[in-house]
Amino acid sequence: MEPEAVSEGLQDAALVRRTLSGDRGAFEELIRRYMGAVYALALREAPAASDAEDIAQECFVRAFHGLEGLEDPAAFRGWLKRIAVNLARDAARSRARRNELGEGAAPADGDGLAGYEAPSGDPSASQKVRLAETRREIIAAIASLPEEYAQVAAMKYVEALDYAEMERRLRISREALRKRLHRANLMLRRALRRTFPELTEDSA
Amino acid sequence: MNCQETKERLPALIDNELGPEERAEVERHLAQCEDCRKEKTRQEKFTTSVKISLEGLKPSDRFIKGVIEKLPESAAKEREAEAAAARRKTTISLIVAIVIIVLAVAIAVIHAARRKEVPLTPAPRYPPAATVLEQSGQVFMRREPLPGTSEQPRVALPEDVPDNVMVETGADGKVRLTLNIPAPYGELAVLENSEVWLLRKPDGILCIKVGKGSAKIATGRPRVAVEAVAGETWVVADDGSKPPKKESPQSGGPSGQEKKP
Repeated sequence: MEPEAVSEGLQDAALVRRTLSGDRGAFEELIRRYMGAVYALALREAPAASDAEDIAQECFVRAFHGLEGLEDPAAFRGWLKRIAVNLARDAARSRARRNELGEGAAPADGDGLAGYEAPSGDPSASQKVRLAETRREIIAAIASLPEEYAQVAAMKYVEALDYAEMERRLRISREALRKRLHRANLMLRRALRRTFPELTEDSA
Repeated sequence: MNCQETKERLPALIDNELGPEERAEVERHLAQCEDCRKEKTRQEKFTTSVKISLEGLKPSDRFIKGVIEKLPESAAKEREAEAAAARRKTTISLIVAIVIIVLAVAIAVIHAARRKEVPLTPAPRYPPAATVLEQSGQVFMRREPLPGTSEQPRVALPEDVPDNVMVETGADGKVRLTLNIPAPYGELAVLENSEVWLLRKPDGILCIKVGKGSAKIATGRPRVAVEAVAGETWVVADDGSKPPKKESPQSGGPSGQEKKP
């Protein structure tokens, strides 16, 4: 774990304590720090962006209620991830059950990883399927990164934040952010070598 | 700038997040390093591909607000209530502290008062209106103030009030005397126009001396009542089983501890 990650754990712990003392602003800050990563975890399991957003929001609601039972507030990140993973899997299971019963509704076009609509042009059906598949693979790759890299990759690629905002949310230096983004990129490229075979040559 | 430093800065360069000086340094290195140029191209394509693939996927602007709205008001209210309870607790502590201070002052005043003569309420001739108020554990003999008579007998208390004597000021402003003696219950009646002193002998035993007029002293079981007259000193047996005993002047009595009213 990077030294910054340790201090981020302490920052999380301070935010958790402030939340427990009734400071809603501190909880909002915790949301900002992890919403991208949690949302990516939810997207990995939920085909529709709106479903994923519901799951991610529910994750934070549950975290809020469970905060008093969190023994080590510095371990908030890992704890939150477990809540997110469990919620996303529960949602996936119940969706699978609904589909088995023929009750599942098809996700809306252009929503999340299913029914992907290309931003421009008029792609054919097979292209649409291919793009949706790429999306799914990228999200899965981001969600499977170690927590601090998943966090920063989600901020950059899912939330499309600029560096200043990432620095603010993570409370780390520009230098530390740059290094972390670089490592996250290398890991992502490795994880996506089948998706982007032309980019597999890793010279880092 | 070497290759490692350059490669670390490539994502920032591509994201247009490098300062002009660093950017110039990276570009100088790229101009002379083919390996890093190839890496830059790969990173550029990767970044572009991922960004395009995930375009429009970011969580809605209402994400955080949505979470906050889903947090039940009750949770906030519970915490508010806890905070209010804490404030109330502080207030109560403050009130208790004030009450304690007021009581301390009142006790000090009473203590000061009973070093002098303490006027008691008028008593009937006999029997006295002594009422046993408490009988659990130790027994208290309480002399109730009685209205209706004009003369006020007096009870004089020693400087060092025995532990088993309690003096209280009632809501009526009258002084009540309580003797805590080890007897089922007891009575002390100070008769009209009389003065009684509560004294403690050197051995600590409480005794009652009548300075003027007379008083009625009684124990509970066995109930023995005696009338003590001026100049007499009486002690009450510690175990309450014996009647009040008259102390002879030769026995030493409480004279050494006596305080004149």
